[in-house]
Parts: sequence; structure tokens; C-alpha cells
Amino acid sequence: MRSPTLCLGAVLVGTILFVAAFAPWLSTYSPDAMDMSNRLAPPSGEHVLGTDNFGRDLWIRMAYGARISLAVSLSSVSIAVLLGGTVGLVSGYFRGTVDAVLMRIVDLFLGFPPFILAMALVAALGSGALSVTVALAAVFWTESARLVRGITLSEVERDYVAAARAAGARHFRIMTRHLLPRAAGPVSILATLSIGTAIVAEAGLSFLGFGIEPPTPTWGWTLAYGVRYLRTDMWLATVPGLAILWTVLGFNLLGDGLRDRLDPRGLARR
Amino acid sequence: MTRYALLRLWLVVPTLAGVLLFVFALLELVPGDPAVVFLGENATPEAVASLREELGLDRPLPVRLFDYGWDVLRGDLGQSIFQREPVLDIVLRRLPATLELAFASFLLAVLSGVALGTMAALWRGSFLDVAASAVAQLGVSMPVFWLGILLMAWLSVDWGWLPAVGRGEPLVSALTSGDIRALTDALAHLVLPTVTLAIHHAAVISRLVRASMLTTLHEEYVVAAHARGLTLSHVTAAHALSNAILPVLSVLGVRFGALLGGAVLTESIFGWPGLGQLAVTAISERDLPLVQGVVLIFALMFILVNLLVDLAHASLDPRIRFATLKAHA
Repeated sequence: MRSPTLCLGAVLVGTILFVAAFAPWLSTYSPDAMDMSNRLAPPSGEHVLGTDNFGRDLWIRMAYGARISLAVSLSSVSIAVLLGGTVGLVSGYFRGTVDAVLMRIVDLFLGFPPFILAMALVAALGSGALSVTVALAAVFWTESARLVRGITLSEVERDYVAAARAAGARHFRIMTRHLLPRAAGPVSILATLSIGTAIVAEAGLSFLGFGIEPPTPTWGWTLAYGVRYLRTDMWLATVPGLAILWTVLGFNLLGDGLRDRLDPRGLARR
Repeated sequence: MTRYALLRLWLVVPTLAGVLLFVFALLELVPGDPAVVFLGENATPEAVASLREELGLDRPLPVRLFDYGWDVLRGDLGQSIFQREPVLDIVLRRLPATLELAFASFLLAVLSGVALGTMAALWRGSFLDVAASAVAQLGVSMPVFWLGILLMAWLSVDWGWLPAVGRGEPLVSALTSGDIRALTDALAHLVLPTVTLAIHHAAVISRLVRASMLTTLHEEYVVAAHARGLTLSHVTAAHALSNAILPVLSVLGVRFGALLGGAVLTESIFGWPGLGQLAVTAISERDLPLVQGVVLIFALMFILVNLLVDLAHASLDPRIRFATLKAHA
């Protein structure tokens, strides 16, 4: 049976991926072209979502914003999954001192409220896409590490691992060929759900002015700017908010749908 | 329970040491010379040299780390670069506002999440269940800052029902003074930030409670309680909910951490004069000693609440005590 959650999630994520991929071809306007005679124009046939306080077309800025948002969240979650997965695999496979040391490092990162950790890192590293990506990866890697470690710890006791060892397989081969595939399902669910969280976090950092700096058209910054026009031009804060909600909802539904299908035991439940 | 409590307390020590090490390392992560970065390119060489000395950058790294740890233990979090005041004083001034907002939201999130989740599970498949699930899914995906802005736009700007920004009298002093006007004012200011901050977590908790309740409701002891002729409300409260709540309790610590992050955004939207707003100012000014102080206090709050949640969880569920003691035997 097709899951409605999975389908709706796929549609929402699919549209936003499409918009991000084809942003330059979706409008005749440029995201940076100002038109001061046409500031804060409401949505119309000319400007589908209206214009911002510099008369820039909001639709094309949102489309380019999708690129930034997805690039930052996808790359930070990828780094987090690679790093966390490796740490978790090594930790769960070798156990003992290696596990103890690696898990203390994980605990160190878990000592901070996640968004505060990201803010602190951006404060030290400075703003910009690279800092934000690193900061978010630093927040998310611990979850994959703990998930993969837990799965590895239980799988490593199973007979097929002993059999592989008896057949002469080396550590690296057992980890990559036998154990890693067992973790793939739960990890992909966790990653999908993390992308949603990463998008909100990136937008939150930009909203506070710590993320990627203007004039880059981020959703968070546009939203922060929209607050100044709350009394008169409500849509300026509404449009980027809807864009974030659409995307996050999409990834969350996709993650939930994947979980129902791939992980009925709920290993990746958060 | 005492043995568990002592062990759990002892486990806080390495976490605290790690947090301290990380907060110290923030200054090392700054690319280039931190003194130049903080004061700007146009700063005089004398000012830069003086700040380098103040930050201790002229001393070797291990000495600085040791000094930093020792200073923090004595309650000295350093000087703010721009406010020329001890960081601890600034932070302690802002702490009560954040505690008020965070605990009010946490309470609201837990109570409404448990209530919604329980009702959704009891009337599974009903309109209420479907509606609650949809609202929860939206609540989970809604960015806290956008929700805050929408609520502010409708309830304050358009309809003028509630104050848009600021904090009234501190709630505790309004409560103890018995001044009704101060109390209404304090509550009126508290409503929007609290609701904004709570909704995401209420949604997460309601989903967990619903799932956990659905499992519990089919357990044999619940079925047996029904068979003995006990009323639905009695069975729910005394048998099902008290067991369904345990898995929820285990995530409350993590929830509180996420809530503190949301508090930063909520405070800056509603001009709530707490630690979050202070963090935002400190980061924009690149006042790193102040950033370090705020981050340290946030981490301490988080660790403390995690400790309390774990203790509560263990006192309600002996399995947790035994598992933890066994793991560290």
C-alpha cells in the first residue's frame, strides 16, 4: 500500500528540489535586480509573490534561497552522517578503550543545547556558508554516531559476523560490507529528518544575522527583514516562512514515511 | 536509588570538564588574531596589544587553559570586551528572564503535549486524532521564529490583544507582591513568547505520548483493569498513562536543550530581555568573552535539567537504575 505520508513528503521535497535546480530559468527577473520605483509591490501578474523593500522580485529570490538552504543543509547533514557513521561504526566494532574515548567526545558535544552550539561556533568561526555548514555538521554528527554505534554493537554479536571472521575477512571488510548495510536504513531516515532540522537551524541563524550574509537571498534573512514591514506588508514575512515550512514539512513527512516503511522497529526514532 | 543518584552526579563531572574545554577552545577557533578580529582592522596597535593581554593571548596555551578553568571555578568568567563589566554580573542579570520563559514554555509543552497525545490515543482514528496528528506534524515543522512573527502580527499588531514586545514585572515578584495589575501585566507579556516556544515541543511530545499510549493500552494489565470493571478515566490515569509516560520522560532532557535554542530566537523576536537576546548581541559585537559566558551558562542549565530528568526517570523506573549501575559496575 502506498503511504500518503511518504507521497506527500516526496511531492513537497520534489517541488523544492525542482525549484532549486532550475532557479535561473524560472523567472525573467534576476534575484539582485533592484527596481526602486516598484518597492514592496503586492503579489501580481508581473511579480507572482510581489517585491521586497528594494523592489527585487520575491519569487526568484525565494528560488535562489532554496538553493542556499538546500546546499547548506544537505552538505552539513552529509558531513555529519559520514563523520558520525564512521565514529559509530569504529566505536561499536572495536568497543573497549576506542569506544570509551570516542563516546566521551560525543558526550562533549551533547553537553550543549544544539542551536546554542551552532551559534557559538558561528560566533568563533565568523559568518558565511562554510562556517554555518561546519557548525551544523558539528551539531548533527553525534546523532548518527550514537545510532550507528548502537546498531553495530548489537549486530557485531551475530553469527554472520563470526562466520565472516572465520572466513578470514578483515576488520575493514566486515565493517563496510557486513555491518554498514545494516545501519543504512535507519541512518537514511535519521538523515532525512535531520535535513529538515538543519534547514530550520540555517534559517534561524540567518534570521538572527549570523548566517550567510546579504545580499545573498537567504530565507531567514528575508524573513527577518519582513518583520520590519509587519504592519503594512505582511506578505514579505509570510512568503519566506511558507517556503521554510513547505520544505521542512516535506523532509519530515518523507522521513516519517521512510521510517514506517524501512524501520518498523523504530531504531531511528528521535 | 542513592547509589544511582551518586553515580549520575559523578557522571556530570566529565561532561562539565568537556563543556569547559570546549568553551575555552572557542577563542582558539577564531581565524587570525582574535584581538584584531574583535577590535576591527582600524584598531591601534596599543589597543590590540592591551586586549591580547586581557584575553591572555600573550601566555602559552596550557597556562591559559589552566587559568581559565581555575577562574571559572572561582566564578570569574572574565570581562566583556564592549560592556567593560564582569561577564558573570551581566549574565546573572539576564538569567531570571530566560528561566521564567523557558520553564513556563516547558511546563506548557509537557502538559498540553501529554493531554493531546492521550486524547488522540484514546480516540484513535476519530476526527480529534486525525486533527491532532495534522496539527502536531505542522507544529513539528513550523520554524519557531516564523510562528512567533505570525502570532505577533495577529494577536498584537492586528488585534491588539497582547503586548508585542518586552517583559512586564518578573513573574515571581508579581506573584509574591499580590499586586493584581502587575501580575496581569507580567502574564500578558509572557503569553506570546511562551506559546511560541512551547508549540514545537508540545507537538513532539504529543506524538510520543500517542505512540506510547497506543502500545500501553493493549498491554495485558490494562485489558485486565478494564475487565475488572474499572472506569476508562481510572484505567487511563492510574494504569496506562503512568507507564506510557516513561519513554516520554527519557526525551524531556533533550527537549529542554532544543527549547533553550528556540528561546534565543523567541527572545530576539519578542524583545524578551534574557540570555538569548544577550547571546545575539554578544555574537553580533563579537564580544567573545561574553559569548563564552552565555554559552557556558546555557550548557550548565541544560546539564542540570538533564540530571534532574534522569533522576526523576530513575526514581519512577527501577529498570533505568539497574541498567545504569550495571553499565558502570
